[in-house]
Amino acid sequence: MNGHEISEELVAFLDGALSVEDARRVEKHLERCPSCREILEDFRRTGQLLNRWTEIAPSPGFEPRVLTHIRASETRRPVSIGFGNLNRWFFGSPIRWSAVAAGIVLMAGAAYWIFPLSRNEDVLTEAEKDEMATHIDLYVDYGVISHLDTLKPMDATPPPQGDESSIINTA
Amino acid sequence: MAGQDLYRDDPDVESMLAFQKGDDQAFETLFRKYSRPLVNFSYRLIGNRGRAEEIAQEVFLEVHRAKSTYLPQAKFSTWIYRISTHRCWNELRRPERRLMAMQHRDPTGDEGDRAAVEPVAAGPDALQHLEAKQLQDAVADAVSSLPEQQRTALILCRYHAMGYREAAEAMETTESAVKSLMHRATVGLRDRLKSFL
Repeated sequence: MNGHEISEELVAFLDGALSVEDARRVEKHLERCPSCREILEDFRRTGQLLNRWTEIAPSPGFEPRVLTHIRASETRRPVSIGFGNLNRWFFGSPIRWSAVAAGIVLMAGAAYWIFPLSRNEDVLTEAEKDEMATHIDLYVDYGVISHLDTLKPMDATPPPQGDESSIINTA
Repeated sequence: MAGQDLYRDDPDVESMLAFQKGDDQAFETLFRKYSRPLVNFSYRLIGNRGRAEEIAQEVFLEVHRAKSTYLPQAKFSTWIYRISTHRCWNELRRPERRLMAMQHRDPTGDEGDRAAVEPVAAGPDALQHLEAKQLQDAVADAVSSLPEQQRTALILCRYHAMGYREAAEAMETTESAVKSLMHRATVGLRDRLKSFL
């Protein structure tokens, strides 16, 4: 190590942050280098000067004020719904996710019975079905009738091909 | 997991783990131990007493919120200074703060602290007092004028008795980087404080 490299080690040397080997090397260099000894002395006195910047005391009431603030913040704090927390909350307990799954099934079942209009077979009243069967020829697009059970009796004996009079006789 | 066990001998880590188990008194013990050092750390780094106290409060709030997730992966002191360091750096990088620093070093909190030395009647004591005050201001100004990284390393090592390795962990850098920062900081301070040496 030359003088320049040694000078870069001097602060660490003063702080006891060098390995034993490096510290010995610096000591040996210092024995024969007055300019590095002078730099070392400057660094030492600079370090001592830093002690003149004394601590400040926190303002009066700082500790109780902060503790109160922390307690109040934690009381007011909403439950976090971040995905990480949600995953931990949900998958962390088999009982919890089983309960959630059962709840979803129950809600779906309840919705099925509570909202009957959403089911096709209950959309038409019996009178409407009869009316529809009577005027079935008006319904060009049979796809509009999704529940044709009531019409089946009419189709039970299909007329022979090309014999239109048999339809009239059957009716 | 073995790494976590390394730090379980740290009494502050023990307190944090006790707090995790529901011992609120353990949190207050940590708070009382670290509140003053953290206020001073932030104050020396950002130069504003009011903001330094706010940052210390934010740090403890973060520690409190870490109750359920805390894992001892470092000494407690390293961990809490790391949180504090990042908050101070964020504060220093706020645009309005940079503008303020360009206009005046600290127009709000610092002035009150620097003037906090009690008045002394005229005489030899007063002169000594004034000199001490001037020296303190000169040291504070010299440290404050250092670049952010140098200042942080210097404050951690000189005022909070950290070794280079612990300071490196708190700053999330390497030990050799801290060594270099400390060298440059000390050279800078020596040059600025030459008249007092």
